[in-house]
Amino acid sequence: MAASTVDGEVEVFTLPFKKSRNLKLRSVWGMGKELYMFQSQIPHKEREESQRSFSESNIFDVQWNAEMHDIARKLVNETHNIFVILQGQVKSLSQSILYSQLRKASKQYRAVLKACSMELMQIADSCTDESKKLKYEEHIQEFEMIQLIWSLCEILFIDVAPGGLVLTSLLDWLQWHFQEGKQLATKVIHSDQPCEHPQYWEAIYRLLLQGDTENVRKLLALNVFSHSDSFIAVDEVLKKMPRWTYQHAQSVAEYEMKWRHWREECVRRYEAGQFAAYPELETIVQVLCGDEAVFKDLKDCCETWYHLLVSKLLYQNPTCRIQDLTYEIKPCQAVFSNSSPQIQELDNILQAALEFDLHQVIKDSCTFLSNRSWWFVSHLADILHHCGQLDPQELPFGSNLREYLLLEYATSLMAHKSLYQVGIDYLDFCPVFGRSYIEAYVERIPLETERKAHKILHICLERDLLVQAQSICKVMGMKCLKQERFGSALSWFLKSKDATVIKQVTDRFLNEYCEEGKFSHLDLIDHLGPSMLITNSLTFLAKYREFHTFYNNGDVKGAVNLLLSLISSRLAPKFFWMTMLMDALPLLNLPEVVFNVSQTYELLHCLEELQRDGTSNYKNLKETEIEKLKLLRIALTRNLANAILQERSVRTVSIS
Amino acid sequence: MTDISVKFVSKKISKIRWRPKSDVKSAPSTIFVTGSWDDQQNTICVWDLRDRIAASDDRDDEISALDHEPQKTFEMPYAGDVLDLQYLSSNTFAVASSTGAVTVLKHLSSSQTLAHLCTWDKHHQFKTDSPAACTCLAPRGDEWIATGGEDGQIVIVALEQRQPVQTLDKADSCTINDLTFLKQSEILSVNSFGQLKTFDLRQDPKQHAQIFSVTENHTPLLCLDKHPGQAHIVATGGEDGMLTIWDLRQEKFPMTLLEAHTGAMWEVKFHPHNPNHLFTCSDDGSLWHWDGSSTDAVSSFTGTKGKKHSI
Repeated sequence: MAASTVDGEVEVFTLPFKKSRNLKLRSVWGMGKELYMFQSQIPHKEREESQRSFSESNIFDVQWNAEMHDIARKLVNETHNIFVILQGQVKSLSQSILYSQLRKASKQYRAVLKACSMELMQIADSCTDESKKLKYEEHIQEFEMIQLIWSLCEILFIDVAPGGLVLTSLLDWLQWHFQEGKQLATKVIHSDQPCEHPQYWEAIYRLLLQGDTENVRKLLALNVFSHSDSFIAVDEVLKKMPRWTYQHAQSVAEYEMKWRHWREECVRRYEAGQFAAYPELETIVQVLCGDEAVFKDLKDCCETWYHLLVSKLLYQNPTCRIQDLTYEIKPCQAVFSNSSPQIQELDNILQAALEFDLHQVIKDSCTFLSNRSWWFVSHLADILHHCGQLDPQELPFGSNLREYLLLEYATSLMAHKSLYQVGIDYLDFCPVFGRSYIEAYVERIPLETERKAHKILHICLERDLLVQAQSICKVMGMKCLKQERFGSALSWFLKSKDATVIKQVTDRFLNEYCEEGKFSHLDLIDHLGPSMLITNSLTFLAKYREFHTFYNNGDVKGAVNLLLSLISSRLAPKFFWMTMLMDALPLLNLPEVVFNVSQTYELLHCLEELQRDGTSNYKNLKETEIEKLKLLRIALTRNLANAILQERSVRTVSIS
Repeated sequence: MTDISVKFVSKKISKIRWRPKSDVKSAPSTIFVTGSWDDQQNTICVWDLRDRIAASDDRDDEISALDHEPQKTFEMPYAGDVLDLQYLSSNTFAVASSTGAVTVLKHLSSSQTLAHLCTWDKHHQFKTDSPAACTCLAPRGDEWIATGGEDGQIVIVALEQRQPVQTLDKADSCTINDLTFLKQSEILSVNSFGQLKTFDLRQDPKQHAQIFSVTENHTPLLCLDKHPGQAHIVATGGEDGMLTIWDLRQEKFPMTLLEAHTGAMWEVKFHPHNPNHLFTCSDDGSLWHWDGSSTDAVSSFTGTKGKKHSI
């Protein structure tokens, strides 16, 4: 099944753009199923017209396949929970226990769906805005259809009755989804004269067609003539109707025999004319006999062909198996001729299900039911896949059907401001493409606050996405740098462990020192600890601060040695050498000689190198700096002289 | 193992707080307030634990609070993410926003709604004048509120005044993640560089009183709480899930380091009456109860896969 066959209706969005000759529409991808649309000017190739900027320019954020996620957010969250637990169980449990868990999960999904549907109905009732109300009602209708399809699929594919005898489950399905019979019956019972109620017989027929003989008998008992022979006879027959339940340990053959026996009795009684007095009773018994013609007459009580199908089977062939269902479809459909196009779609899906064509079911559901959300098809496909019902064959797309659908669902979640976390969880369970999708998306989630950045980092680290984690740290750091928060920038860059970006921050610190004469973020710099060894620039910064500390404490020797080692190691950036040499000046001017000959030569060497470098030429320096350089040279030369004298002279020790 | 009641609320909740009792003798509070984050439109909601609709009147045994399901009684939209929420008194509480604003709201007793008392906009700003998120709040009594933000400033405001009482604008080089009042004029804060700092409000703001560091990795510290009785004992939680207990009388290093969670620890709280007990909640979805008398974690409640933000 090619991926290109899963194409939906074309969705049309109307956007309020001003039409203009110079403006065209452009777009940029957002996250997932999201496009940003905006207008921009068509560049003029011939002459350079001054670009007239138009006053209003809007950017429109267009999202699709995600309408349901805001309205029924609870559905997304609760089913996410169920989904994740299920995937965990798939990995760990054995086949037989897994099977019961899959059934449970399917029921849980349906329960959540029902709860959301009811909540939505409450909201729609209390809503005053007409357009919103309409929207809610569309959603409710869609939920109804989804519940119908899902429960049928559960009966046919997931929770298959042993031996393939599906009739009981199908009857339950009918009773659950077609409630009009019960509602009518309640109405009738509560009226004054039940048997005079215009819909009395209709209620009875509806209940009969759903196999609800208990309530039929109750209604019949309310009739004025319930003591007449015909009524009593009908009551008897209804009471004796054999029902197939799992509790009775009867075999299929036994049940079938009982049922045939019972039906023969019905036919006998009917032909004996026991019910001739009351035509409605005759209709009832005809139904019990499984007469073809009467079902056609009662088609209005069935409303749909699938209801008719199940009803007919109940009275004609109650031990039918799943495979037998297909034969009945065409005749039942023929009875109901016209229906609106929307119902047509639903019919197609149900027909495909009854014909056991699972792929057609999924394909049609994708086309028809995924405009608002891919929720339904993806979750259903997941369960069917784990039941082994879905063909695990690879599509030309590159992965199997289940993964394709899960990817669609997860992608539509990513565009939501808040549900991206749920989307990522779903992508975790897509073995082929999931990881690459996560890698692409996680870097593009907007990071507004630090807390969000921490959370997304945690997501990356949980999944070993180290490259992305590093990139996020760098992005946060650059943001901080732009806002001139050097401290925060440094802490983010340290996390990313990237030397180049750390150097940017340390260069800014050093610049600040050059300009203002002091460091601003001492609480950070003094407490770097072992992380200063991450890059050279940090080490330099920390050591330079240490030099200051030595100097302030009066430890001249330590200060001198440190300064020299810093200068000779050439760790410092070029613009800072001047400052360091100037730091040496007060030390040179001390009364005693602290720099020995080789150290002084070292300083001179550094000075020469600095001057040879074009940036510190005499032409570029200011007055004060030229002054300073002169002082430095004088001090150095003097120091050299003193140092040579000191080292080369022989100390005479007088012995007395 | 106690019962846990779960309710899906369709919003990511960042802070949840019980409303304090108005006086000591009244029944335990059934009202709590939640603030949401990371959504198109964030909200602050007031919830009440009401009886479940199913009749449980015929039960003679005590109905524990957990049998009730919280009902939303009021919802109010809020600009930006709610980053912190603290009660100032039994009626009023302050909310810190990611837009840099601080808002004080009040419970109206007549209706179950909230009224807006005052807002300080742009409470925290970066040097480039763009708004900085206000990350934490600490009340002192019901008059003063100290707030810290991503700009590294600590600002102290009094309820009735527009201008701040005091601003420590170079308080921190990194983002301040949580703070609390140690004494009347001393503040304790933790930041993203893994440091715990004390500030004395009476002294020159350019000096910090003390700086403490956890480990050398500089993992951000995310939350802190002080011991209710002994003010020199403080507990902090970090991004690596480590719980640290400090003795502020000692210099520089913490007293105890406990490896706890596998995810970031977002909140830590001492039990107000029984300080031997400590609670921590974290990103890995679990809530841990620590018993100081035996120095082991007594019990851990693991929630669903959702991440826990606040206690």
